[in-house]
Amino acid sequence: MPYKKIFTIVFLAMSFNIYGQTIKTPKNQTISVSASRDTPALIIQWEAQAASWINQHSSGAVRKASATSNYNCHAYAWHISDGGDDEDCWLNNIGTNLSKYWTNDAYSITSSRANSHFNG
Amino acid sequence: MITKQNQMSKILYYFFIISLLTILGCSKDPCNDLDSGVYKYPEKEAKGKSLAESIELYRIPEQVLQCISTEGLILSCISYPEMRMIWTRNSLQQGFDYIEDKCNGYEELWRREDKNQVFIDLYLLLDFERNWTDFTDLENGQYVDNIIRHELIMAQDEILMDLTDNEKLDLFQLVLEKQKVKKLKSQDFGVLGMAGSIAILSRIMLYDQYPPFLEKYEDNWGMMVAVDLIQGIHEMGREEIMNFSEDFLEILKNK
Repeated sequence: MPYKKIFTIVFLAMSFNIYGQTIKTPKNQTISVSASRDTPALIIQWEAQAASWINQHSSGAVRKASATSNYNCHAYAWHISDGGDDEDCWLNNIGTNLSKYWTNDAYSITSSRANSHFNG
Repeated sequence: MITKQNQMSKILYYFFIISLLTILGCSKDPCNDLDSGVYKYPEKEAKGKSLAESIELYRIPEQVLQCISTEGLILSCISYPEMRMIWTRNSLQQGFDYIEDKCNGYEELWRREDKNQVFIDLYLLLDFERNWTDFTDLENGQYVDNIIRHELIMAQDEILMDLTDNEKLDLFQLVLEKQKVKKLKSQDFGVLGMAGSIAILSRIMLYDQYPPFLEKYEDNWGMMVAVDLIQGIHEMGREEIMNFSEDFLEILKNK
């Protein structure tokens, strides 16, 4: 993979901080991921808010799938969309956890826009 | 001559009164259009517009900001249509920072001297012990989301660093009580549903430099993230914060 930039209109960008599992970047750097413990009620609410946002605005964003507590937007963009496992894969962008993907790895930053999605 | 002057004065006086009444009668109070005291955002007009255009449309007019009550202003900030975007950042604090920059209600809210007491009164009205099974998941999610919005705003420095001693005691005690209910109903609130109340308790202790908490905070990255960024924290961390809070509450009471 040379590089890519994924523009995301996403909800559920966060989860809580129990790191227990790891995944790997394309160049084998270790990334911490966690399992989500969010309630079904909040997940349904976020899904409704995201759907309402897309309906309200002209943004070009499209809905990819139903909301899930298995993974969040960062996990989808950087791991699952490249074929990674989607079970208990919440990836937080705190500290240098996520930036490993574009720091001495397979991705680099670009100003061009590639595509858009949202996952609940 | 005196009579003529008197007559002229009377005419001018009546002219002034009539003009004043006409002006007052014609000028419309911008707060007459509020919905139960809360600003009505032009969501229909914003439909199909880009986010940037919507944000411009959602600016509360200056005249409204001057006449709206503090309670109405708080509820207008909470019901800001793009407030939902608090969930689109990596933490609730980052989400709030994003929204605070877009919604012009906050600038006025931070200036209101009665904001802390009004917030406490509003928070008191939120029912944490309602029968959750009487509602759908979506309704429960919306209810928790509304509680989180209240707590997220209350957790800001503009509130917490502006509390009088009495307000601090009232707020701390109230939030701790609510947090205890949340703990009992953890299946309804979830980890993120407790993040706001935990942040308020933690930040008050932090700003008061409460030594036991400070020591823990500086030594625990997870707790630092939970407090600074308002992220969920695991059960053990929540328990620790609640225990610190119980002790700190006694200090506040004895001040």
